[in-house]
Amino acid sequence: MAEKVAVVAFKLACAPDLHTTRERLVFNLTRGLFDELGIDRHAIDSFVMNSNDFLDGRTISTVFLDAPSGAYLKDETKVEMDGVHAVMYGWMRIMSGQYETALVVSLALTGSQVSPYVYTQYSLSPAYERQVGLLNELSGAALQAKAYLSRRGYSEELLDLVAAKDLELAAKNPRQIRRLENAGVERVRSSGPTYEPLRELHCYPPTDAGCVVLLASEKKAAELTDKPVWIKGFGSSIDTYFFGERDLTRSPSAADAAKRAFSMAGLTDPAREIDFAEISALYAHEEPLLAESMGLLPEGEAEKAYRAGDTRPGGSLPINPSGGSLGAHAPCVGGLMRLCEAVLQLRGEAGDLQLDGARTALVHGQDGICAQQNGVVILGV
Amino acid sequence: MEETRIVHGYWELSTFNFNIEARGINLMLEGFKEKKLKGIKCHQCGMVYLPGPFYCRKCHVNIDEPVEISDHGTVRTYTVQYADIRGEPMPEPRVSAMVQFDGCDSWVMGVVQCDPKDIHVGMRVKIKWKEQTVGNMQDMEAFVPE
Amino acid sequence: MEAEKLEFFNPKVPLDFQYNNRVGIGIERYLRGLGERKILGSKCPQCGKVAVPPRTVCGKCSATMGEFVEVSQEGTLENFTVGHVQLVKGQRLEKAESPYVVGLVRLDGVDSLLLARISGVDPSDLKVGMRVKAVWRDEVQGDYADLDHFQPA
Repeated sequence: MAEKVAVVAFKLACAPDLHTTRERLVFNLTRGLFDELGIDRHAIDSFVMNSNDFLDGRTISTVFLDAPSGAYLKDETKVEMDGVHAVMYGWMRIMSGQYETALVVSLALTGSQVSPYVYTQYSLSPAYERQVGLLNELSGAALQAKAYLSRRGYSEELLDLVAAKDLELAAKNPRQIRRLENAGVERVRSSGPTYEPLRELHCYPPTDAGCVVLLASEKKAAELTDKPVWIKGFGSSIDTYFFGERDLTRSPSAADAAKRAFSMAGLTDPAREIDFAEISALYAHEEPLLAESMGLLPEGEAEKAYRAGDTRPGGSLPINPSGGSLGAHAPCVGGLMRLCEAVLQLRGEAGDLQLDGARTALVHGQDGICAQQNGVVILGV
Repeated sequence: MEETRIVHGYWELSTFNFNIEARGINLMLEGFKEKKLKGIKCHQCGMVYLPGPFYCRKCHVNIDEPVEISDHGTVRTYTVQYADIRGEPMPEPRVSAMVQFDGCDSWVMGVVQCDPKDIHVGMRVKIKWKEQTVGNMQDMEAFVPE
Repeated sequence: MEAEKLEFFNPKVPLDFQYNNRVGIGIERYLRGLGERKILGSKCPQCGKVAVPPRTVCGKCSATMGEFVEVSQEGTLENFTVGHVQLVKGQRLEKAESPYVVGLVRLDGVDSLLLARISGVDPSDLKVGMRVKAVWRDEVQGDYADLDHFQPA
């Protein structure tokens, strides 16, 4: 059994349209990563492919992506959910002691090839929700936003505060795609309405994205990098599918996932011990909602915390210092984008966005309408 | 068990916007204009592919060296088809084979114009080109015995 | 990523797959109920919870729900949103012809919330907690669209 597993390196590409083929995208990412580290595909003991057949437009879609990723005649498996679960698979393989390295290869061309909304649209029951036609990820998110704000007694302004903070940070982050000048509350409020109270800038932008993440055992990590970022804990959990049976005012599955991750990481006072969080908040309200559910913000205090600047860089618990998912997000790759940003922070390589003294991070990924499924990774240096 | 009605769900691939690699296919179609087979060779391991991909599967490097491949080759495997995909009998049996052209490592699929009794693994075939080749898939009419 | 001089083509793949999905006993009975201007739910024999539309497994206690019950057509509006866009074919976001209201209704005696259109009231007059009642299509056919919308009771 391995004792520790580290994130050793990563490579990320995103744009509204990457003008590429899926094969070229994964080839460039994997080849690029190998060249940077001075290794080749034979250094990888296991390939954890991460994409979704439905979005790829092909079934068993990784049959076309294995060879360009370097997985020809290599150990390979596939995860069709948010990338944090692919990281979990890779991590478990190394923890078993049978593998030294694992490479997560993730992609989704949901900017140019197909709409990202298709992902959740086709998660709906063809026998009921799809026929009735009222539920989609936007209407669901809007209903959750309303329920949450109402239950906590927050004003709708909280959405603008969250989005403005995220977009201001995203504007400074070269890895994001929505980099707006004059990103601020006014700009957010002037964007078009979708389902009230959500406006366009409260929602993530459709994105073409690809990402590879290299995991290694402690021994191997020492050969590959002098800045390993350790995986301290992981948890995942899933809520019920039935929309009418969910408590939209909170995320019980995010709470459960976080609890497991904290326990594995040996954290007893997460709000104090976590230095910052990168949360996959696809809609503005999800950021405070998930943060509260995961115990990072006290329940009922989110609006106060945002107004006081607690969640900004320099505050008591920065959330999404990278700008978060409102700057760029795609299914599968989404959680990995958050993970890569967290890795940069922990390595001290976040440039203009660098936080001081960041040593422990919470990374979160989600799937399904209103984050039905949640995965949490604790990273530390 | 009580019967329940059927409703429809859809997966509309026609709405997807696919980008498909074309360099190798374009090279192959260019070659067709001259009644030649043009593939790509890996400069590292020497593997020759038709149609040429942009990378070598074994070496995991970019490859782009065009190479001419003979339009004569050997049948590596074949099948004789008597019914179509719906099970309807075909007017004439159809012989399809995977052929390894001389100088190429990958196998190419195509229809062989020959008596089903004659097809066998190891049979030598060549490409029957259209009179006038223009650079599309129809230029290669069929494979015929050498 | 540098923009490479790539050669690719964009084929349109003329494949639209149609799936034949059986709706299952719960939805089947529900739809037949709609054809009689009735709203049916399922009741859990173990915990007593009522779900609309009917399910065969109780969400709370996983017991098998075999009992169908007719539920009230009136309830409380627990949540709602005003939609200004439409998701066409699950893909394209387009501006809706006019704003419409999607609500979550707790029918009296039912534990789950029902997603339904809310009409017959100005969106600005909507309040969480207001009483609403079901409005049927003129001609019912035993189809999803029979239960047209809810309006203030």
